[in-house]
Amino acid sequence: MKKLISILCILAMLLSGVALAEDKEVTTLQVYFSAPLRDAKWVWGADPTTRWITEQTGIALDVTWASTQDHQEFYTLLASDMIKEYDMVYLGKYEPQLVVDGYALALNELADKYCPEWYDVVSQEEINVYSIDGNMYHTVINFAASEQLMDLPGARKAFSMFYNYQAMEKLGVDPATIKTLKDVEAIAKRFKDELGINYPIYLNSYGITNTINYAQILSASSFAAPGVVYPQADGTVTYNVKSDEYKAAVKWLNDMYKQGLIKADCLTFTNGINDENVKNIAQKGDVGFVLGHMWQINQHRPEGNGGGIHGTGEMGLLQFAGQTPLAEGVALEDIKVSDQNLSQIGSAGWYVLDRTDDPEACIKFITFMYSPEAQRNEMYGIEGYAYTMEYNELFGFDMVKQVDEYAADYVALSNEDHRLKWGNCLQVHTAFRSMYGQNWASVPQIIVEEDGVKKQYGEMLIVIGGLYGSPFKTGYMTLNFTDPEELLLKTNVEEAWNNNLAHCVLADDFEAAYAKMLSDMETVGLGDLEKLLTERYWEYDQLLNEDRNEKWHQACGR
Amino acid sequence: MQKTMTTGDKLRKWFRIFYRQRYLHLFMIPALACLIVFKYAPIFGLQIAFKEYSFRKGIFGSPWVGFKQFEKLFRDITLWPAVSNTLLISLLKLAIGFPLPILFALLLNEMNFNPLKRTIQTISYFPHFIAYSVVALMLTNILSSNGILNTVLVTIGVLKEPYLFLGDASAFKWIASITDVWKTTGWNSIIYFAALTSISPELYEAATVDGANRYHKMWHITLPGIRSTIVMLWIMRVGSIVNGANFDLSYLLANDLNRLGTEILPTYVLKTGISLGRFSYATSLGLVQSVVSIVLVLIANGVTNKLSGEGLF
Repeated sequence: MKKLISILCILAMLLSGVALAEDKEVTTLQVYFSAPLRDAKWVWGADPTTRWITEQTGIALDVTWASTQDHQEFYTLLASDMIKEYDMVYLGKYEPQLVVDGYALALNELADKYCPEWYDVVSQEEINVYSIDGNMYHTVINFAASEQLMDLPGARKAFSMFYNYQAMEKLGVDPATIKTLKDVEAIAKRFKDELGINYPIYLNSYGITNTINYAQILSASSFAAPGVVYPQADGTVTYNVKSDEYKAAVKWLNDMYKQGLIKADCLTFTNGINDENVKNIAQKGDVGFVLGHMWQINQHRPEGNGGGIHGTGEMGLLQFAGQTPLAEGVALEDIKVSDQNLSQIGSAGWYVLDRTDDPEACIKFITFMYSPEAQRNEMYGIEGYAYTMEYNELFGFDMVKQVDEYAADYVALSNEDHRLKWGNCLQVHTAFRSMYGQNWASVPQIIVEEDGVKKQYGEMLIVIGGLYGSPFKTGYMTLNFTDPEELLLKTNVEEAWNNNLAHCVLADDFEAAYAKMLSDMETVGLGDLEKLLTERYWEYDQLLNEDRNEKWHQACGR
Repeated sequence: MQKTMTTGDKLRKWFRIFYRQRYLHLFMIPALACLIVFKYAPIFGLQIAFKEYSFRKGIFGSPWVGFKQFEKLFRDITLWPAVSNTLLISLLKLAIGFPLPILFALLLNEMNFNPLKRTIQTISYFPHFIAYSVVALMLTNILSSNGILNTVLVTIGVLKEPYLFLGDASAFKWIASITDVWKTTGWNSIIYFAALTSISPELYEAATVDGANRYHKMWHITLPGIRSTIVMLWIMRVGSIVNGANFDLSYLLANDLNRLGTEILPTYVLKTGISLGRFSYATSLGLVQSVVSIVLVLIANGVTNKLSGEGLF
């Protein structure tokens, strides 16, 4: 008997060991991310979202981050052949060498072999636009035409406005009443006159003309600019820099500077200095408003709670303001969102590399991330999952009370309805919707209590998508010039823009400075570039058809 | 009758000398290895300047394209501001930064109070050890509109209102040159101090007897005594004009207002070559820079040989 019991115990242990081993069997894919977009301490599996993805797919990612955004390290990996250590790479732009040299596997061929469900979840439009010689080599971060997103959890890209909440309290101003840029100007003057904050508007970014381009995003989120590129009345497609809205955005910055509300030095600060400055002013409160990108401000969140790229510490006196105030005469409905606008075709994202040991796992991971299930998660959070909002005290709006009446609606409504209903009510909008997962605390988290459980609904965002970033960014297929001559032309035009834009903000004669900028761009070939752009724009327009992927939309609950 | 040496005798003699100096050769091997691995071996890679380099195909497999990369290079209108900035900054550094260490060494050499002399010498080395990233941060503070320089200039009435030095493209060459001179003067004076120690004190004694004053001695004894050092360093500095502009400061202080003045050849190579994966293009520029440097060294050497009878070779 004793022997039998011992044997049974041993068997039970063995079986549970096997079960445990099976439960724990996870395929880990090595991924290289060619940009430092997360806190260096971020690891897959540390947050509910990535754990959920692993539970669903049996796949986890081991991510290596580049330390800079200029892709130098990536090219070094290619040259030294160390890229073979990775299964996938995220590049953020289309790189023809990956295709020409055979590094990137065709996703459609992988799907044919291992995962035909891929064709059910990726929109035909995206396949049409992004195929090269009949093959699709990379995913796309955001594809506005079908409203699909593909990004890592915790992405934060939105341009936003932050304010000094203590200073607001001293002035007796309710931040929720700041709706327009005129309001910002009036409050900024009060910060200066009544509180002695010499330069109340701080421009925090990596400069206004590099990839993180907030003149561009200001034009989109406040002035309702038409797009990164847009067709003019005669059908010629041109860059946003020629739009009236872009000019108005830069003029607004110039006006603020002339009134002594913006310090010229803001435009001379480089990345590291900007980070230090924001940290200082966040702590000392020597500012009224900070305009910049969420993740740059967010870096000062406490570590371990979506602590941004650097996760350095306190948010200090800065608080997220929600929707960027609108220009005079612009209504929220005017903001160009998710239109079938080629300028919102997303930038290149993930490539599966040819020397991966597990191409099947790679394509299955990508397929899952495109699935309706994962897309819902990306937009609204993990269904049924309760979150705890850590920073109630830092958020300026009384969110919970306002959203009660909409609590039950979120699944039934379309994304557009959500946006209008929740967004208009709460004034909670940011410029980009790639906010996968709730492991961060920068954007206001809408918490609703249902049956005693607090549930979080994903941020209600207006997708401006492609309007974020430099208008000359090569990440977008429409704008992608790979022919050396075309690239040279684009580079020269971009240089002319780069060399002039900041001077427009500080110019005594704004009109003359802006005219000089456009003239310099024309001199180096903007006209020729527009011709190339126009050809490509209408070429891609034909690849997008009106038939949406109905099955996918229905599955998403739209 | 003198016996002529056969080849075998010469070889045997050579091996004897080599064996006698074997430990010296052993000391030299690591340095020689570094030189070969890091300076000579990479020359092999220069061929990609004449190829369309493919990461997959590697150096050998990439196709030859002749001078196509150079054509692209010289047609890029954004190259020329980088060239002119590089030359301007290098020439300024040469004009200000070359004589200053010599002057500093000469003046300090005249000091009789050794403790003070050594203290000043040591303090003068400190800037050399400050990293350029720290220097850039210091400059951002000093030169900002409410920094110490503007405060002083406004207070004493030179400026009516603060000036945005870091936003002025034309000011950058002065900022870069003066910063470089501040950083390197003390350190570069070391070699001149070393050269000064080789001058025989008897010459100074004899000059004193002949009634020479301090300036006569400096002009007729000191300077001629370190002339060969000056000539050698001068030739090397001229040869580095196309590479001499400081990458660190240009990279760290470049912003949207002054980019026309901060773009130099190394930052241009980084931006248009390496960051875009255009290694062939970047190499072609590197090769052009090297060829120009060699030509400048040859010219400088020829001129100094003719004028002073001294040169590197």
